[in-house]
Amino acid sequence: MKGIYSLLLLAFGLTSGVWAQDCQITLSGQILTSEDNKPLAYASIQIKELNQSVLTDSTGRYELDHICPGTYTIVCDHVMCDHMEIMKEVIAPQTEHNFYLEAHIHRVQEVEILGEKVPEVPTQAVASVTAKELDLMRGVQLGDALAKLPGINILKTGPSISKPIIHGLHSNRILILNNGIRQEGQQWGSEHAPEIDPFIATQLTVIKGSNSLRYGPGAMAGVILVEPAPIRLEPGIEGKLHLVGSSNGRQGAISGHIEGRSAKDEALSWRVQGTGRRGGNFHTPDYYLENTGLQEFNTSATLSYKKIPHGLELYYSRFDSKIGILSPAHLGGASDLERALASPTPLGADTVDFTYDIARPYQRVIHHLAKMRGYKRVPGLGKISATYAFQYNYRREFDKHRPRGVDRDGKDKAELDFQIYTHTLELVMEGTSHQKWETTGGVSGIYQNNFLTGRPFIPNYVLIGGEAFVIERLNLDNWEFEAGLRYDYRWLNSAREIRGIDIFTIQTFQNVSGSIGALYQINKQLQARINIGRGWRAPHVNELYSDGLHHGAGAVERGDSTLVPEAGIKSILSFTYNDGDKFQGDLSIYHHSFQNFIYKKPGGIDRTIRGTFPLLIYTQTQAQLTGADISLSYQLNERIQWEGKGSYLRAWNVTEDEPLVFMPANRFSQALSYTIEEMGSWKNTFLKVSFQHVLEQKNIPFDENPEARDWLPPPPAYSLWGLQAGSSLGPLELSLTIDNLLNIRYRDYLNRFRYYADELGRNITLRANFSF
Amino acid sequence: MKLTSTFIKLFLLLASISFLMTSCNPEDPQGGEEEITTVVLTFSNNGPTVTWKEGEPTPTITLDANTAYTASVEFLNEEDPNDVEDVTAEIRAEDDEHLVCYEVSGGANVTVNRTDSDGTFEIGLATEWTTTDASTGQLILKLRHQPGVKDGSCDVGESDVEADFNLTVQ
Repeated sequence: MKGIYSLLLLAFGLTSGVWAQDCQITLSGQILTSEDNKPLAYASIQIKELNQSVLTDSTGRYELDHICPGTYTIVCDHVMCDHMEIMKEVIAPQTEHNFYLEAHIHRVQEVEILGEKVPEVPTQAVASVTAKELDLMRGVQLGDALAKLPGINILKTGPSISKPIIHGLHSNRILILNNGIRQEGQQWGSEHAPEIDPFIATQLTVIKGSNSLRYGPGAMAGVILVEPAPIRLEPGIEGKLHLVGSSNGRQGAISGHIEGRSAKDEALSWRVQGTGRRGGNFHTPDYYLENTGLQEFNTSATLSYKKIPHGLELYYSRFDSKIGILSPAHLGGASDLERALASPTPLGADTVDFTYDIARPYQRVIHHLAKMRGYKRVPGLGKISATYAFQYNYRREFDKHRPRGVDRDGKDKAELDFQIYTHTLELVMEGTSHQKWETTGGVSGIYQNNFLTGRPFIPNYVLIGGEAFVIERLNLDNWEFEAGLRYDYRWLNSAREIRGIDIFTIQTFQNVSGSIGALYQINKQLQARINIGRGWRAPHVNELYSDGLHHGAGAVERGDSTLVPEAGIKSILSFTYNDGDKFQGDLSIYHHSFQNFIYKKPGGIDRTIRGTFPLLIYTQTQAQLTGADISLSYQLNERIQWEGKGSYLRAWNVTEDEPLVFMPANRFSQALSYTIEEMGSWKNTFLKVSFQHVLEQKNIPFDENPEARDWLPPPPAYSLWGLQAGSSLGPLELSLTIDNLLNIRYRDYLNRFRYYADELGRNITLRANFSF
Repeated sequence: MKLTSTFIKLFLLLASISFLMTSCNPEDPQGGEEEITTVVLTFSNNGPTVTWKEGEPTPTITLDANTAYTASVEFLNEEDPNDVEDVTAEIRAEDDEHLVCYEVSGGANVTVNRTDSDGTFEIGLATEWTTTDASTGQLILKLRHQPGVKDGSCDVGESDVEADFNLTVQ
């Protein structure tokens, strides 16, 4: 985690065969940077036992004399570098030895390697949820934690399924990197939450650009990095335990990790982590939500062997969740839908009580990730890393009633059973710098296999992809420029059964994408960035071939096999201001222009065996999304801080000349906090009052028959108050959070269950984090 | 270096396990769950046989005025035309979980009564239809799936089938 990285060095000791006379040994040599062998001037070198020290000269040379033969602890320090201590045997009378120090800037890279953090693209608009902020939100889902950031919204399906939305776009248009690996699950579905344990992360970063270049196709709207803490690099053991209890849903979570570095083999570190979470029926201000419990059990383990010139890491994680789906929202025929919509509360809500039991309908999702990564620093070429990852995602959706034809005593069979296997291999060369130029490049391949059994919805398929990218950066004094190119190839073989006949379809997609950007340091306080990128993504199988009734949505969705890849150019201009004292602000303005934007267009009414339903057909259009995010903070005095955030979005379907549906409503929030840094042994004691206002979404397409578009109009605007207090006592951090303080009754436009039920009522959460 | 080779061995093991896991044939189309695509109503007393098929226009049931019919309903899965499955037998086997409802609307002078029973409640696979004067209207036939909640009413459970018919009494 935090820490001192006692790093080791390479010894190129040249020892002559001459034995030393007593205490007349001279130890001399250079102190150099480990990365590129540059001499370090004014570095200090000390023989600890003798308390003898000197500074290096301008060429990095040092000389220590009158040393007796023996083994000493050599301590090297430099302002730009890490502190280093090493044991050194000194025997030869003229011992020439070079010491290598790791520069801080490289340490940052080390951290990135360990956390598998991909270097940030400096010209992009970036926002992060820090470790400190995350600790105050432990136990919430990944999407909910991200929603604190301006420009990020969440798409919900009831209280326990949430997906992040970046600048109005989600699912297939966002990439999530889980510990450096592109998450490959069934992310196309709007009720398919990311299969990631948020407890593994100590930082969540959102890159709000069309930065497909580094991370893969599909990052139309942005990239979310789920980053674990860097692994411990000094001998010893440490850990952290999180305990969370919430009143709503009577939810409890426990999570912890232990990590250590072997004292015997200084390069070997390990970490094991686990999380358990359980909740029962959630409660709105007026009633319990039937069957909304959840269970989650996640584990992960890391083994890392790391030296400066090379290293290897093994990582494995398992995510396992069972999520109850609000029963009244699961519909059979058209008349069930009509009854559910006509009722102001979910059907049967008055008889629902609290329970931890999860009945049908529910989802069970298991995600395995195994990863191996090795790197080697090659002088003159930079750092070369190879990563292989295997992911297995097993998703089952159980309908409300067990299917017909299944033995009554038989197995609990899922109506939708998705299994997706993904192998990825990546070779990346990064940080090759030639003076002001820096190059990063890589190639990768993906092999993916999808099996579905149960109610036909999307076809089985095999996907093979090849990718290559290169990013070039130029660093000048106040300017930084960046340009990148990327090529993607996708081969898709899908298999469907239509009226007893097997149909195999092979499709290929390929594209070149690119981006350019610049960062300008206007003055000490103000920084401007601009990035223009062209992103691309191939239509997903659900958009090409889905055909069936969506039980939760109450609509028939039909794919179109003739869809072509969608492409978008996203331009972001962002300003960061920090006066170093009281005021801090971020503003980003963006415009996203799409060609062949894939969306679901109302296509009239479809008569099915379950009655008549609105038909939604995947169609392509020209679309324009324009918006702005702002985030400000002002320190009123030593103890009081004000924060404000806001986001605005206007999404337009150019072809149809109407707004795009299901876009997040504009919103703003404010918070006032009072902090006492020290109060006896209590540190960072704070009280924070927050207020969020979400406007009504008025930008929806007009239709003479509104039900062909959406079952109900968007819900009215709402305001929520929240309260948070916390303090830390030594290794113990305590906090109390109250969400929806006034127990307001409201519904959100982007909750797919807004047709049936209110959002959650007041929720009181108590958190304790203990570090050891 | 010894450690490195251990790592590599571990890695190879991991990779081969994961490949084994994916070694099933990827090109099998998905297996379909049993669905109902077709509803067939057969009337006695020289009455008609009317078929509702998914994707086809609303069929019309034409009955004589002032006549009583006995009728039976069949549910078929014709997803694969070479392998038509009769789902009716399954429904009968699970008759305590199913109820067929007949909702007449639009002024058709037709009354439908269920004549079969699961021992406690009606099922609705066998019915008696009585017409009076000539008229027209609509009928919605619902197969309600009511596991554990069947109480004789059409409100509980959910619809496995909602098929619409035009009704003509002449």
